[in-house]
Amino acid sequence: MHFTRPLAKLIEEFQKFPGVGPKSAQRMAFHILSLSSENVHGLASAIVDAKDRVKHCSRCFHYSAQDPCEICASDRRDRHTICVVAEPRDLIALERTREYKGSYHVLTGLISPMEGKGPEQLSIRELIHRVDSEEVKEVILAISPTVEGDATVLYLNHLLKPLGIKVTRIAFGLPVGGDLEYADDVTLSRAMEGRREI
Amino acid sequence: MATYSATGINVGSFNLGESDKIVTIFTAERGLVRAVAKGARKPGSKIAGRAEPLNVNKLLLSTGRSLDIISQAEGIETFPKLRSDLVRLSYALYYAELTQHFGPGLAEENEVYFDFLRDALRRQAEQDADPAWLGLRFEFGLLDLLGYRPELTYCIICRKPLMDASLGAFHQDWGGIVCKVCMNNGQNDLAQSGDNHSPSGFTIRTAREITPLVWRHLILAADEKIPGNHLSGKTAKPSIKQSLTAARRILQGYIEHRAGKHMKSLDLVADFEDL
Repeated sequence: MHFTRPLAKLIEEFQKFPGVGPKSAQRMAFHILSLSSENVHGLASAIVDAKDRVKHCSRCFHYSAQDPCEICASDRRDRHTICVVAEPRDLIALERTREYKGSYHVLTGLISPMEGKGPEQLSIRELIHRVDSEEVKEVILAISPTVEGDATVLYLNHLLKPLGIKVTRIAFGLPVGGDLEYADDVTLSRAMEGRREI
Repeated sequence: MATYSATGINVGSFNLGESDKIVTIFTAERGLVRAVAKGARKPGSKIAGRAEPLNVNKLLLSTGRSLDIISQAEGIETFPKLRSDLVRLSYALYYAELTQHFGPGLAEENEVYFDFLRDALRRQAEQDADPAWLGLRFEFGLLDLLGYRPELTYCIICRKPLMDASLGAFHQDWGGIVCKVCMNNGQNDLAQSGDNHSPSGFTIRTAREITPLVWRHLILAADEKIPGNHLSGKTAKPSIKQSLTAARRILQGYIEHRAGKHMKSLDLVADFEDL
């Protein structure tokens, strides 16, 4: 309405981003206009370059510019253990801890009955193929304790257990800095179940 | 900012911004309410566990401009057993999806429906009864409250009492069973008109044939006096299970016809039952 056509188009495009409303989109568009031409070209080419070069790894489905990805190609990784996560950002969160040295498998989502998202829309078939064809000893399910996460874990457990491998799920409990008094029943009961000797 | 208290069952949620969630809640006091659970996706959030679907909470809500905000939440019931059985969890989420869709139509029955839904979730979580059987009973209860209860004992056209030998088809448009004679008449009308709709209004598309065993399941499920554990999930014979599945499909087809949309959670219920 009050914006010249190229600016209106830029605002419209920013509004397609998750969590970006009209006001934030306007702020971002005006920020772009205030940048130097060199910086704007740098941003535009970074977007195009990432979109063109970053793909899913054919083995673990993590985002990478090479195939297989850096983690799958590394000799230092334990190939006998696969950690299953829902999204690439979950993998990055686990990598930040520097505790885990095995390989990963990204499901690219979770089973969501209310959204009609079923197992066939995830990379579950590829996971079973990996477990079958590689010498896997343990599958760790690092999946959020939500309703969708629980449904996915139940389904995966049903498929993986008959293959005779160890299937584990990451522990639940109180977050660091959390307050016991405010924890919900499910968290507390699961924290009790998963207690360990000190 | 004005506040109010409510007791509600979470029937859905989706992400908002960086760390918030919008939760759809069926409350005993105000029916279906949508409210923002601020910071519910952060690991240390006090509200994260309580914003999960199928939890029952006592809430303090602040009235916002477009959406209310959850100020405090105290957990009452969480149905943990539902989270260890994929089929029962799928049915519970199907109840939630039905509530999201039909909730606005239950405005005058808030308290009744709240108790009904909570009891239905408890039964699905705690009882040994076949989850499909419990699902069928829930569907009848919901249709009752909505005023869409199907006619199962008399032909919806000629009003003659139905018997095993006279069963024709379940007709979704008319909300009940048509006897064999009326069904044949309707089909003859259709053949003569050469169209999908006969002059009498009979359509093949919305009519499903019904067998005596399937009919009995529907009659039993519709009767509130029959105990909830009538059919055990572990002991039912395959033939009984098949006819129960057929009865469920008839009623689910009728509900979807009334809703005018497909219930997405049903796809996974069917997938998981086959596991």
